[in-house]
Amino acid sequence: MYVAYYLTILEYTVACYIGMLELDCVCKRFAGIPAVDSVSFRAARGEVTGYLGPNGSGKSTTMKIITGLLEPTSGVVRFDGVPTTADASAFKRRLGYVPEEPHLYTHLTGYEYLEMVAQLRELPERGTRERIEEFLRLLGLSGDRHAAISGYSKGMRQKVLLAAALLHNPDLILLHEPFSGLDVSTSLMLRALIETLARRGKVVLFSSHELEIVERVCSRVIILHRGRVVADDTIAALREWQAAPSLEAVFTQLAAEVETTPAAQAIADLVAGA
Amino acid sequence: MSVQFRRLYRVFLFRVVDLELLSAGGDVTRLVGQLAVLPVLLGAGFAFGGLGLRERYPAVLESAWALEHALIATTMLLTGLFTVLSWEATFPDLRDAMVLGPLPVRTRELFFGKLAALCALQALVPAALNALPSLAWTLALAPPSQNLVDLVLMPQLYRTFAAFWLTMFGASAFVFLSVLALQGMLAHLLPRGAMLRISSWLQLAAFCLFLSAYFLQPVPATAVALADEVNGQFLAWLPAYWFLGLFQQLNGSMHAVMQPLAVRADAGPALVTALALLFNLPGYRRRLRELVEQPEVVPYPRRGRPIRLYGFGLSTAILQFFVRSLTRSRQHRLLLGFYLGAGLSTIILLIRSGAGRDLLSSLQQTRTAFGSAIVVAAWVLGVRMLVGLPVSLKANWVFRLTQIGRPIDYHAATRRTLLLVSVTPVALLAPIVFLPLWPWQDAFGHVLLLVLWAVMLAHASVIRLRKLPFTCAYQAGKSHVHLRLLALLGGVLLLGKAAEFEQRAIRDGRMPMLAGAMAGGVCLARELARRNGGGDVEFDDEPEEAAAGLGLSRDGFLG
Repeated sequence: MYVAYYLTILEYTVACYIGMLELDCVCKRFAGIPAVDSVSFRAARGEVTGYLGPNGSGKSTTMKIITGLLEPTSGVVRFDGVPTTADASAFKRRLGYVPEEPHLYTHLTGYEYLEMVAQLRELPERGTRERIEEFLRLLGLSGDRHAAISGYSKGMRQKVLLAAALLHNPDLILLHEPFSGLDVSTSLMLRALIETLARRGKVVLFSSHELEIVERVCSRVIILHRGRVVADDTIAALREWQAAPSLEAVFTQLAAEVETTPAAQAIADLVAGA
Repeated sequence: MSVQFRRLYRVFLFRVVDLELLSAGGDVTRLVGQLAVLPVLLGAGFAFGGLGLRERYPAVLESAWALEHALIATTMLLTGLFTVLSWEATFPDLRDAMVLGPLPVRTRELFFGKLAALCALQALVPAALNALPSLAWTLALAPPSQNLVDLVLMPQLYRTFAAFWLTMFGASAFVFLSVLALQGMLAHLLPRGAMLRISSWLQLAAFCLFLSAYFLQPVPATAVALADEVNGQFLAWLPAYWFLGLFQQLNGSMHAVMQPLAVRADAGPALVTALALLFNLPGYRRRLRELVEQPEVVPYPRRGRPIRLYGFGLSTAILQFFVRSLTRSRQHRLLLGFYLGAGLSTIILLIRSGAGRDLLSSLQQTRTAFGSAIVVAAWVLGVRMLVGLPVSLKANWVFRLTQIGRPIDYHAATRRTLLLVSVTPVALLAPIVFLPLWPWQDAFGHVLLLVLWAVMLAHASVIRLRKLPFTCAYQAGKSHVHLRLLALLGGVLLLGKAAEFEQRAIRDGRMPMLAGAMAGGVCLARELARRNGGGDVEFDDEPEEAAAGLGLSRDGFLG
């Protein structure tokens, strides 16, 4: 009887951790200055978790810590209950990342870049080429696939990054300002894609300043302010807690650093005084 | 000088050299120091040469011609090389167009701001080279005096000093403005697409021209030789001789044979200045507009199937990345050209100099063998040095994020890539060169040894290499350049003996033994490279410290 009891607890625990990204008291200091301070949260499989915060709040640093590009000063990042540093290669195989800024090797063509990423990820040759072509076609880059990325617009570069992040069917998808530079139809497509990927069991951590999109797409949001988590709940619960009509109002109450209307007024006055 | 000009000048001054070429852990001051040491050391050599002149005034004025010419030619060469390195730095780039375009900045201020910044940096080259010689030569060429006071009060001393600097700066300006005029003329005449394609090859051609003009031009002997009609016609086309004439003219020691050359030195800089302004200034605004208007996406011409020697994996990714970067990056091609040029210059220098004649047998075949071994060494070294020239440090994150294999696999892939790129051209070109040139047994033996030499060097060059190609930058102060140069010099001297030994082995039928020894060397180098191939892959990370880590670089504080 006790065995069955413990097995049930074990099953429950495993079920909780499988397909879950967990940050546990993660800190990052630069020359003693905290950029991220004791950040803890969980992002579960099947839901889109929004990661919000004003400029300089520590979002980019957290994203880089999760990807392994930065090492935390203290704290642990776990995926499926296992620290990501325990087997970094295995973690990277399951990670897809769209960075905030579209830094790419611009002397390569879009196709060549994706081919290189596929090769570095050790994807099988069979099927990968077709997969790349299909990604490029669906993202509207087919016609420019043999042109150098240096000639691509910001939106086109963003599409290349998106394809590179999804090419290997990752379990954890980190999206840092993925809508930046995208046109309306691609934005709508991407919004639907994010929801679909979450429904298909991916863990999606989505960071953006576009609060309307976050409100539509995310099931939960985490709000960061000066390196600390100031809110972590569903959007409905946060609205109720803050008695605010929208996520934008919640965000303004929790993390806005300036009074927006007086600041705008002051700037307009300054412009007029030039 | 307007406020706009001063601001632009200061901004452009620090943008002439691409700081991404320098590692995050490197030190700018050390890099500048290392770059400055070469001309200063060369200058010290010329200064000693000046002090060592044995003749007394006025005979010294003619006996110093060869050294004066060598110093002028070296000044022109170094200026030329710097001009090649800062190719197109006078022209606006896309960042200028996007940042300065919307601002009320006059095109004239923009052009002169860039020109002034580049000239200021260019002037450092002749200044560093000629600082010591200017003092030594002024004293050496001065008329005799009773005591130090007489010497200091002598007007001729100051005339020589002024003539010296005017000549050197004039020669530098001539080289720089000639290139600028040529670039401006082509930009004026050709459509932008064609200009972009031609420009990178023109840069390589200019580099070769400067090197070959320096090493192949004759050294002046006597006034009689210069007065020869045939010689005179030939020398009239060599600008270093024009400025030798100018120096004599300004110094007041003009010989009749120098007169026509001095006239050219008077006219040359004036002509190229006029041409540079004529072709560059009016087209500057058009160039800014073209930068913004150029077609957004231009497909690359498809060139057959990509290289797929190692299947579809890490090794192929790195090989393709290497080849694609090399074929599309002007800087990388130029660096490789620089190493090849350095190899060819070494051969010419050794063959022409007394030391080279002592070192090498008079047999033509031995000299050719020696030359080919030097060229192969320069090529392999050039390929290895390319690894440290970054393409885009900010894009490195993709290598780090996709690093799912063991570091040792990455090192092996880099080694394979460098081996393939180093050895393939040697294996393909050496038979084409040597089979028609030598008896087939000799040619076959030499080609075999040359390929083994390339393989051995390629393996040796990757010992302790833990970087992926083009993902790290030059670490100034940490690369032990002086030790490498000494090793290289020793290697060149040994190669001369090795070439003689090889030729004797070919004649004596001991070729298999020599090939076996070389194969042993290859195995040893390979093993050393393999054993030292451990450790994590090194990337050139942005510094995590303080402000940089907080992402202030995005705000323009840290470039």
